Amino acid sequence: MDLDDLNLKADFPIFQHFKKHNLPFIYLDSAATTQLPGVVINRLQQYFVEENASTNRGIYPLGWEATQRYEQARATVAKFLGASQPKDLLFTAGVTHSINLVALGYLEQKLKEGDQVVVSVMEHHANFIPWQRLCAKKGAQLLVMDIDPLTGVLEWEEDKYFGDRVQFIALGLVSNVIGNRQPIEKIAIRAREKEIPILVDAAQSLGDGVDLVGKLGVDFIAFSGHKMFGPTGTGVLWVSPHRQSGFEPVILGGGMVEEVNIRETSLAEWPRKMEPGTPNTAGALGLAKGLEYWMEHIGSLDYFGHLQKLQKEVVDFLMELGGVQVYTNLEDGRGILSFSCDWVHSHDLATFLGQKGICIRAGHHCAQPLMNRLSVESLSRVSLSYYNDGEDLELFIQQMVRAKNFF
Amino acid sequence: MDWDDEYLEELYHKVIRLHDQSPYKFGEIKQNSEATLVVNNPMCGDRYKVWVEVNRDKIEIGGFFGYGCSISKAAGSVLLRATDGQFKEQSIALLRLFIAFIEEGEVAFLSHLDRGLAEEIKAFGGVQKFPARKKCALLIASGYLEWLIAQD
Ligand SMILES: Cc1ncc(COP(=O)(O)O)c(C=O)c1O
Repeated sequence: MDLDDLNLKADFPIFQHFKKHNLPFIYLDSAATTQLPGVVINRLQQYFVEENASTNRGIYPLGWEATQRYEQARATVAKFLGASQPKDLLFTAGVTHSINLVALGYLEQKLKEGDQVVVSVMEHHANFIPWQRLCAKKGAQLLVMDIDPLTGVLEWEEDKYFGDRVQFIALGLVSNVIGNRQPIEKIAIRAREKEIPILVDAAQSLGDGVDLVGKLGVDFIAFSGHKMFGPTGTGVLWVSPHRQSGFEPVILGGGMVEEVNIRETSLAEWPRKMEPGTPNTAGALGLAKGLEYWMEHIGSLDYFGHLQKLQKEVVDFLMELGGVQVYTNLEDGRGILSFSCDWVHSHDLATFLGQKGICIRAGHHCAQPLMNRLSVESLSRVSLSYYNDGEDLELFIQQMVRAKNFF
Repeated sequence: MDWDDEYLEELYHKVIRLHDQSPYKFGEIKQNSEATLVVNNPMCGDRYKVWVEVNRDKIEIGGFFGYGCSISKAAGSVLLRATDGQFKEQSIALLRLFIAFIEEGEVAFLSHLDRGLAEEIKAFGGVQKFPARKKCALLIASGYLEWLIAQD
């Protein structure tokens, strides 16, 4: 069954809302945040209406059940990721939180003056600044892998990225600007030979489906719920078991301890010690529900082909439109592409399209090192998800033609 | 043309289009000379450098250069042209009027201005319907005002 024939939009109340009010709503900004399927929204509502209680604390049935459900959500995420045990993953507030945890709770313990940390020039700021600051603090060096500016392909093979002084590698799986998938598997093999820990920013990994743990062979995986049909402010950090012992909590508080007395505190076991405070239980349940939705409704279809087909349609159109420079990679794309027009600034274009109910992103996409590398100040971005269809693209194309006449 | 085009036409008023196409003293600066002030909008990456001097209370615009949308560029162009050769205090007052007009839609005081200039400023009124774009109109105005106030 082709995704195009499924009318997935029927599962997402926001599309029904705009339709009911007869307003156009062409959502082409799923790399920023995906819309939520009704089942996720219902899950959140059910939690607050029927199940709300403090996790990890309640002795009474509702409290105990909330804890059970929270752990069940962890198990669902583990299944999605292909993690061998649920306890290998932590619930966080998103990729940003996850990566900062690794920088401050893991690498900061180990990094010394003269060491090196490897990132790439195409990282989102969330996978760039934490390492940059940590290096500055420790007198370590940040090595920045370059890319081929036309295809976004990483130039990762040089020996220096796997040298004796390299203590950590942090890379994005899929660029949120160019949208190409990086060959993390190959990089991970090289890193493992030298026992260099490697983190993957999997924020844009929805097009890669399940079993990232098994596929990638890395040490840390970070992703955000809100880019995978879940609520905002939720995320995950998966940590390979052999990297957990060197990990110290960054934030301290309730629910993470064995025993506290006036002189000292002994911490609880992993993962409890890494999740201080009252957790975002509803968020975790919503995130897990989003992943379940993916596994049940999308995972068995040609989801990847659907994104690629739509992406190619947009690219073909933009090339034909004229005065447009497209930054993407069709071979290894994941439904994300950016472009600049010599006839309009990206903000003016986003305003024009926004007025027609078409949502695209404009700006530097929190990837300023990449923008500098591409010698551009700002780009327009179209990012597609499974609910997008040919009709969305038709309207986008129609209004792009009008925009070109307007400006 | 549908209703939403009307707002767009208003936003991209012909004054804005003209200034966007040929902005005042844009890129006219001497190579390698330090800019007086740099403004940027970290949300979108728009960024301009402005070369300006105050001599015996009179403003001299060297030029401006940079990258940004049509609204930010046109607003810079209108304001730099209007203040070039003018007294500092007068220019501070003008920038305040402009900012109040963009932020609050305040038009009452625009009548004190030269008619042509008042019309140019009113051309930016379309941003009222696009609150996300107010920042664009204010980008150069805010940095320029702050700099002028700091000169004594
Ligand atoms: C590649 C990439 N990394 C990290 C992030 C940050 O995610 P969050 O804001 O959910 O922490 C994003 C989101 O824009 C992203 O696209």
